[in-house]
Amino acid sequence: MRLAAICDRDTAMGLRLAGIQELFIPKTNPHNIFNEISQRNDIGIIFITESIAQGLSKDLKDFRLMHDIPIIVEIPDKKGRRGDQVDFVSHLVKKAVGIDISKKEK
Amino acid sequence: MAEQILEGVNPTRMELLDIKKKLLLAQKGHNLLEEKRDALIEKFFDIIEKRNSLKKKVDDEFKDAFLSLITAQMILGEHKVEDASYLTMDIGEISFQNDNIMGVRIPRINKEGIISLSIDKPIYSFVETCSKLDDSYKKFRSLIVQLLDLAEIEGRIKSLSMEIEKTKRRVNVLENTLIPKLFATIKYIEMQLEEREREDFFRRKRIKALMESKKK
Repeated sequence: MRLAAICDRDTAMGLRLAGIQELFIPKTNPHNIFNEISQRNDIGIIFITESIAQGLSKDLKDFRLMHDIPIIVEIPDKKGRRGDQVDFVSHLVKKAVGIDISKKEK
Repeated sequence: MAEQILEGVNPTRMELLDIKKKLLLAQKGHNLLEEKRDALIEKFFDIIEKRNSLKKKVDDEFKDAFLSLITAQMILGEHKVEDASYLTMDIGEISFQNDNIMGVRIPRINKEGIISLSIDKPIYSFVETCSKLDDSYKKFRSLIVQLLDLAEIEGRIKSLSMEIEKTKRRVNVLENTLIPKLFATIKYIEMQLEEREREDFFRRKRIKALMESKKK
């Protein structure tokens, strides 16, 4: 299966340099692109930058709960991680165990 | 809340025995599920720890990689870097396998298809590029490999957390609904049986008294 990424131009450049060729750069609405990718079944992992993931938040969540593959991974863009949002995996952890473990460590 | 009993139970001795068997089974199942839940959570904690450290590492490397990319852009110009980026080889393909931890299917990424850094050399020209571009190429390549690990771990966290939730729900149903219901039903049947016995006893006494009074 192939690797894919939905990201901004600069991140795309870096990932392309590393050899990922399924790169999608949303101009206005990331939903169309995301739907298009989720229809394909040759993609194993999708990297999404956090700012775009935030725009897709509900669709992304539903999709992740329904499907095991592709795995979706949130990556930081060139400005680094945004500290203001809880990512999906931490959310899952909190739901399963009842406490926020990543916060406890800080 | 009043104690609820199972519906459609006849207060008979047969039924009582049946329900006692059911109760034993439910308690056994409850213990097993509790153990499963605890074991899963233990595994879960391990994986979370791994994920947090890996995520931190990946974030740092991302920063580093972007920095070198930006430096390359400064030296060569944005367009040249973009042109060069089209000239790299495809990173290859991955495949998924399933591992099994206590009945939970967990995805494992088979990275054999990924072309490693040592074999793969950049194919853009030496003449028009600089060493900074090579740096960022290498950094992004190694970053992708770590991102794959991160993806694998996040996939694991997802399947584990779903299983934990399912198990938790089952434990709770047994603990809070089914087992109390069974207890209440046992109590109800026993009380009914005792009541019937008392009635019987009284009836016999009464008949005996009647018969004795007739004899006289």
